[in-house]
Amino acid sequence: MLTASGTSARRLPMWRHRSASVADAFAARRGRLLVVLGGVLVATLWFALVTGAVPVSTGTLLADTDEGAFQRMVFAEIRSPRVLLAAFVGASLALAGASLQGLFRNPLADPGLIGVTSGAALGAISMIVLGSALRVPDWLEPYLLPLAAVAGGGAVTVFIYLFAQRFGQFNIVTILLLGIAVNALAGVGIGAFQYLSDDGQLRTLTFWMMGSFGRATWPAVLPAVALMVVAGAFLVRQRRALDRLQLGEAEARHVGVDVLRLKRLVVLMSAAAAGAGVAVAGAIGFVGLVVPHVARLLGGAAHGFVLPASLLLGASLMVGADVVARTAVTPAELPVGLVTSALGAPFFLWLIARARPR
Amino acid sequence: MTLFATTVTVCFGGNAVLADVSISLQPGKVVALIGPNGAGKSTLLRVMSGDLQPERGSVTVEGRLIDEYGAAQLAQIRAVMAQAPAVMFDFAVEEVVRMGWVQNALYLHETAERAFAQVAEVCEIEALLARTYRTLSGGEQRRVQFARALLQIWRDGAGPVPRYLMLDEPTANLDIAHELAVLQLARGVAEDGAGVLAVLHDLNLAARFADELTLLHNGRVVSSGAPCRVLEADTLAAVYGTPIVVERHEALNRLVVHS
Repeated sequence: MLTASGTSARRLPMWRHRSASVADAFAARRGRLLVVLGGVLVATLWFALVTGAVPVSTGTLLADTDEGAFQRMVFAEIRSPRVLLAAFVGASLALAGASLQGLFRNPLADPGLIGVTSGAALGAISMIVLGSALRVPDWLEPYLLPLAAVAGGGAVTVFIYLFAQRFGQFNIVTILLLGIAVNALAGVGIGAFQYLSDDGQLRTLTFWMMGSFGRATWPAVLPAVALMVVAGAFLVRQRRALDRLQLGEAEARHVGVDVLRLKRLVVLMSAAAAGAGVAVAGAIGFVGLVVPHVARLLGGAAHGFVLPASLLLGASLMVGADVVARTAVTPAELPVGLVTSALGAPFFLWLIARARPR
Repeated sequence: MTLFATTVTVCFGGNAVLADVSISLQPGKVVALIGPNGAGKSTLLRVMSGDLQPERGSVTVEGRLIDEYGAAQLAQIRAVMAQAPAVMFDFAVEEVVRMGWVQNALYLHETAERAFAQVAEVCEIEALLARTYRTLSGGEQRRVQFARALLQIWRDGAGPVPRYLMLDEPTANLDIAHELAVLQLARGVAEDGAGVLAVLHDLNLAARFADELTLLHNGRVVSSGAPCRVLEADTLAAVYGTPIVVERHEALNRLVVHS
């Protein structure tokens, strides 16, 4: 026994059950919060599935009538993939944001920082402007834009990654500075294409930059969802390592975290999660930056809570925002990025005002 | 069961920060690194904790080179309390301390709970546990970091396993009572079979709590051994560049250093 033999010889009482463990109270509160957030997501999903230009009701859906068949078609082929995609994109943007904020030990980090968004935008606009010159088979046509976005986002992230690896020992400040430099360079490319584009192309690009789930079909949704699930699973598994990283890089290593491996994994998996979402739905800001903050305000900073909570909140926010986007001005549609910001920003302000300085 | 640094040389930007330094850390001993600012104390501690790869020389733990250990493996046997950077998010103090528990992944395991309760008690941080780490004073944060490091190598009745505790200025920002408390705990860990390495600025504390002192100056070992041998007035005066008096205080029965 340590102190019994120590010079201080301070007697240690036998270990007793602590009546009110802070950890237990925290764990219980976080568990309850996650259940509530899960409930909110389920409710939002149900609401999103039955609401829209064609309202769907369970009774008609199961009825053997023309109306029923029509609703089944809308439900299965249009609404379900769209709602599912919105949920997954919201979840993975928020999860990527939460992981990157943990990795950079900075609450202002978001997926845009590692080049995914601007790279994807560059890929998308180059396809919008130059794509008409390409001769491709008809079946490939709808995939051109997402493929170009994935290629752009992936290329920029891998470039930042390799450059940092080669010249900066992969430290966080280097990645941050590289992200700024490379985002600026991608901005030059985007600007140049905007200058070259005609009015129609410019309009397509503007809408892409504001995000939409209007192109969601099962063949487009499923590969993206698969990528997001894999990347998301890798990220959630890093929750304890991300907690320890908050002590400092050297301190995290002291308590057994393979910091270099953690950095590589989080950068690449965040890029994959966010990139898959950006590719199919366009650039949707705000969610990756703000949802993790909301999660932290609700249940504290431990990543065992922040990561799953961001996932659930991000999905709910995005599904809700998409409902507004497709019903507010029927038969037209609002860009969903506008809605996420319009819904999220005032809510965030309210949370900031409410949270007392501790 | 020993940690050896053998003829270690470290250069930063062409300047030798450590030159041919050899030192060993044995179980059951408290070794204090002393010396003026820039002598290479913290650098030596970083080399011995595996943070910094020396240009020449080697560090071996239990007969194996330190870089053969993975981070997780090394964390099982040595804990480090360095000058920790600020924590950016609102973690509770209890969460910060528990990050030091590396024995198994189950945070709520019985053993983990018992170790945590014991460490919180001996470090007297129970009143801080529910607070947000960021809102603590500098001294309180140091005490919490010390508890975190102590929890990492806390083995209650696990028998003799190699353990090393490395402390970089553990008493910085602490009041005199907590200075003593922290160093007494470090002594206790040593008497429980761990090797303790501490960078200390206060020569009186070093004389009082260390079994061995290593005096560094300009990256070289000036002298090392028992406090009464190393704390020699002329050598200290030459190294620190200021007159120093060392005397034996009869009532306290220990060496006292005045400058």
